[in-house]
Amino acid sequence: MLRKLFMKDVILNGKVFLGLLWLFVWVAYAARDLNGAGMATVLGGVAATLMTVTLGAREERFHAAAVSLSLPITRREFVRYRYLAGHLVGVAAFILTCVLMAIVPWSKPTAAQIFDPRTMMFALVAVSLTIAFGLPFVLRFGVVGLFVGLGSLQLIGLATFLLGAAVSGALGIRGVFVACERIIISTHQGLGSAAYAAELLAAVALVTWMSYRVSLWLIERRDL
Amino acid sequence: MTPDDAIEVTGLSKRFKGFALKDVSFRLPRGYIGGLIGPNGAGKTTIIKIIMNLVRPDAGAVKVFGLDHRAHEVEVKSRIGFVYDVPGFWGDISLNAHRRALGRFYPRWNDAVFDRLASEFELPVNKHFKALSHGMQTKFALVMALSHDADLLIMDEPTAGLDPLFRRDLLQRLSTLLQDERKSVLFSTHITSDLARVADFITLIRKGEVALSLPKDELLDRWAVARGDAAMLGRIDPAILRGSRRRAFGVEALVSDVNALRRAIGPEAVVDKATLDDVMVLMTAGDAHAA
Repeated sequence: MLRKLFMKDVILNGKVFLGLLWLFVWVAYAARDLNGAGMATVLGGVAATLMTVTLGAREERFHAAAVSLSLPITRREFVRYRYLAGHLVGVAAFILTCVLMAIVPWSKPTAAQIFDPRTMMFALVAVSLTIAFGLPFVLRFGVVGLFVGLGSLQLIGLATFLLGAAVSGALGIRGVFVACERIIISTHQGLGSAAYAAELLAAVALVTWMSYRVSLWLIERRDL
Repeated sequence: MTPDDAIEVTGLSKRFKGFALKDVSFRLPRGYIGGLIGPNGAGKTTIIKIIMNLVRPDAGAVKVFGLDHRAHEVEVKSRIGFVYDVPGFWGDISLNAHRRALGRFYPRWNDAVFDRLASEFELPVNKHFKALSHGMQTKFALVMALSHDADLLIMDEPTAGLDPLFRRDLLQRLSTLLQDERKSVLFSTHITSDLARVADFITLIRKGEVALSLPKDELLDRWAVARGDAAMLGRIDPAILRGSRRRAFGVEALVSDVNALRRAIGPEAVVDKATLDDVMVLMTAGDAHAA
């Protein structure tokens, strides 16, 4: 069933896959100036997000969700497929990015940097968390729901930031970015330790599973 | 439910903002055509969407071929050909691509049948779905529904937007389909003349409730419309009076037993056999009376 759903998406949304190619052309062009580890990770997450959002957007645009869910599939299979497909596309985008960066002659990062196991695990974490956050919104509320979710998170972030500024008496916006950078770098470095990597991957698996259960609960209650 | 029922709907309820489906029950025996009639907004589409598990009911049960439609969702849907009220296929994709993408889900999908029907309906299979007129889009939805040897066709307003010639052709096809006694059809419409031609069972939905559900022949043979003065209404047994309305010349009354009506009102009133149009108008737009 999952294979049938994948082929359905390939046939009916092939243009979306083609639309992502510009990302890879840009990667190939920009490889001379890029930090391989960071860019490959970001691109995997971006591709997974775009796929997740765009498939949902196309179904909304054409009112085709009813067609998908009137096929001989269960809603559980539909949700499971969306999670698997999101990971598949995200990981495929990451691998394609790595290969491109490794083979273009003007590439700045070395193959060893690009195919660093820590980077690969970091990419998997980024893709999984992107999907875990975005899919419940897309499946239940459509693309608009996703943007509402993102907007709400931004508002919460802004409120937290302003509260922090009020308490500390200074607008430390640079500090926020520095903190984010530290988290990313320390996570990336931490993945060098097998124990840390195992703990992080277990946490991501747990978050993904919880997100899947939430999506299932939401879509079981969705009226089309 | 008997093993020979294609559909059995029991006690369906669903509440939306401003509309509620209330305790809807009806059945369609296997091998027959059932019609859901009712004015716009009566709840026909909601019932069909619940059967297709596109809408979740607050209460009630649906069985298709004796199987719970949710517990056996894949098996049930494999045997259903579904035509949507607003066909929602992917607009920028060709009809042929839809066939390749969606046909693979049905174990009994038949490309030869798709090609034959597409040709008979003069569908441009290489064109994008959004390039088709509404009528052609409905035809395409019909072709998709008819190409996998479905045992049950469920169609929501399939004849709306079709020209009279094609509507007649479609109804003829449905009758032909029913020559195979395994096949059944449920379709909703507010064009009652379509059902008068082909339906075996009629279910009238009014404000989210089943106003009547019975074999069409029984309805057309026994139900009648009496036209007379206002005093006539008082002479009709309330047990058979199903609807009435006041007109410029007097009143019209819909009754469920023409013989009892004749005995009650005598020869001075005009009595005609009821048409489905009469039934729908008098039971939904007039003063409805309980059975």
